[in-house]
Amino acid sequence: MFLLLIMGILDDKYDIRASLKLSIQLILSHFVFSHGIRIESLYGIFGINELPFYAQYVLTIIVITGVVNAFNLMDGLDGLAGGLAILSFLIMAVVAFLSKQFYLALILVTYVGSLVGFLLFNLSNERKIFMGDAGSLSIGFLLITSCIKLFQATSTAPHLPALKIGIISVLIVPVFDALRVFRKRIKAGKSPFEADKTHLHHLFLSIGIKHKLTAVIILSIVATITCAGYIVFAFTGITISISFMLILFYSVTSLLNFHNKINQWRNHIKKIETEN
Amino acid sequence: METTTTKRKKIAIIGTVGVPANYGGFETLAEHLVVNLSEKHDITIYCSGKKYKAKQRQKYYKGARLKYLPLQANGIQSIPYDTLSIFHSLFYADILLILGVAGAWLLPFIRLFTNKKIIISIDGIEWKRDKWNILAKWYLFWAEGLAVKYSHIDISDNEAIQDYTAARYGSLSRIIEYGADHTIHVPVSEEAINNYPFITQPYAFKVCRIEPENNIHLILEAFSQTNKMPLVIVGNWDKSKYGTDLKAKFSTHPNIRLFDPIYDQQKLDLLRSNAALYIHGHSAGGTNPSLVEAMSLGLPIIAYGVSYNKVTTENRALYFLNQEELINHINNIYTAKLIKMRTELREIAQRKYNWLNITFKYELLIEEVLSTATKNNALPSTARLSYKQLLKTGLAHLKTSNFF
Repeated sequence: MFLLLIMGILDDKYDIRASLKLSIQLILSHFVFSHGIRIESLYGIFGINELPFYAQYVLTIIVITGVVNAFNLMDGLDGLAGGLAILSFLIMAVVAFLSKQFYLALILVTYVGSLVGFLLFNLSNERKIFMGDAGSLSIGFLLITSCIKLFQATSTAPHLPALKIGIISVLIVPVFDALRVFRKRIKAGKSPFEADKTHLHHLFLSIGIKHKLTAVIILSIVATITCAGYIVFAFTGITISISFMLILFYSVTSLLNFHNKINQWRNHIKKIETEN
Repeated sequence: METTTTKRKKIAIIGTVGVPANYGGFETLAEHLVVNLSEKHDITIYCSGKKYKAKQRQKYYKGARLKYLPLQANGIQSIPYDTLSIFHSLFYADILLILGVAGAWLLPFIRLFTNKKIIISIDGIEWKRDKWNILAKWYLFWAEGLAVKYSHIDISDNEAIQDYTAARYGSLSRIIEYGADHTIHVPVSEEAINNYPFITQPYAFKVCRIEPENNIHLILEAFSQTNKMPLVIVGNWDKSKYGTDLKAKFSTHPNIRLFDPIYDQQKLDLLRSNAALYIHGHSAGGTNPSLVEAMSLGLPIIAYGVSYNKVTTENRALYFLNQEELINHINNIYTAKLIKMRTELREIAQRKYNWLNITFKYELLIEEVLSTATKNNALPSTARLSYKQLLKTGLAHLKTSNFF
């Protein structure tokens, strides 16, 4: 946990080259792995269970690095990353408490507290502060490592498999939004890291929804996906619930894209209509 | 026009309120199609049971078979209305002539599983119109896409709409407008003067549905500030708040007369054909039947300056985009200009907007659809060549042609 501080502060103070940032993240993931926090198994998702050692290592490194950066990409609006972090940490804290990881729960709740304080300034107009890359990278890091730890913890408390849904649901929006955007960029022939305005919050903004409302909507989407996931899980297994949550997410993004297309065509037609 | 030699085919006309026509452009079109084509082909028209009560219903009308559905043809019910009509017609028809995109969701299945030919008219650009809520707009936008992609031939009623479908889908829409020669000049009688005392003097006229996109508020405001001639508007004022508000505000103005809907064709044409000027405020919907009817009656026209109206009048009318321009036109219009407009616009209407011509175009489409397999592309084949190859042969500019 202490490693978080070091990386974050270093990053914002000096604009570190991307490859260096990536290597630091990989090294940190390695540390995490060697301390025993690792993805050991897929717990029945898609029917896969215990993983071989090398797969564990590779998957853990990739997932930690991936989620850390995906969360960073979410920091595009005031209150979005902060709100998302609070919501995620609260859900995780409940999961931690129920699986007797009291130390972790305490840390998460403390973070929630400081995030609330942070949001107070982040959302104001005169005394605005931002979390920067330091903030979002370290929060992402805390998020994913807690997730992995809790996955390990809940597998030893087999009467609470539903908790896994909660863990996954907080990850779906940042991770799959990032994947969706990368795929779209690659298909258009561009580099996946080239900036454009197609993230989830951009889509809401381009239909004309204001900043603060967008943040609220995205948070409610996360909450809805979590609830929906739980409801579906009550009737079916873990694979179906996860697939259902993914489908929900993709329907939201498709609808937004569709609406954007309509607006684009409407503007195009307006131009045709009034030109001579 | 030579007679064509296609075999007798079974055609289903879907999506209109029904015949005898008493509603709008599509219905008048259906009626004239029946009159002119029922000798050559077997036509069935689907009608709304809600608009034709049991006593009025007929089995046959001017040679076409009528089928009634217990649904409204417009609004949200148009989706089941069109769907059921299409489904029913699959059992006997060779060609489906569909007016409006409400049932377009069925088209992919029809193409996939049957060999029926589909001609669809996509109306104006419906999804854009302010009168629909967001869900309706989503459905219509999506349905329009399906309609253009999965029909054999799609029809727009205006060149400007053809430009739009070419830009969006890359396919060539056919243009068939509306006829207007069913309107007649009605001479002024003693009784007419009693009912409408203004009829012996010059007056401006407008007949339309009372909706904000027809700019009625703008026209009323403009006329309330001029006194060159009175304005007479016939429309369904009481159907919406927009209408009732305008009626309350302007009906007492000395320069303005507002009338409720007139369904009698003769009465309407009496008021219409004796006007000195026609004001057309429509800003949407392609070629408006009311505009071509005014042209056919030889009325000088001041129309809203949107591309559709300019195309319909071939740029020969006067146009306005705001209140000042309209007021200017009203105040500065002179007799010679009026006469010139009358002749030119009537010539256009007689050439293009007569029902014989329009129904003949449909007849040609019917023949064409029986022989096509795929849809025409609006872009040339060179658009599909690979860029790398074109680069090698020094012809890469072919990829970037701007056709519109």
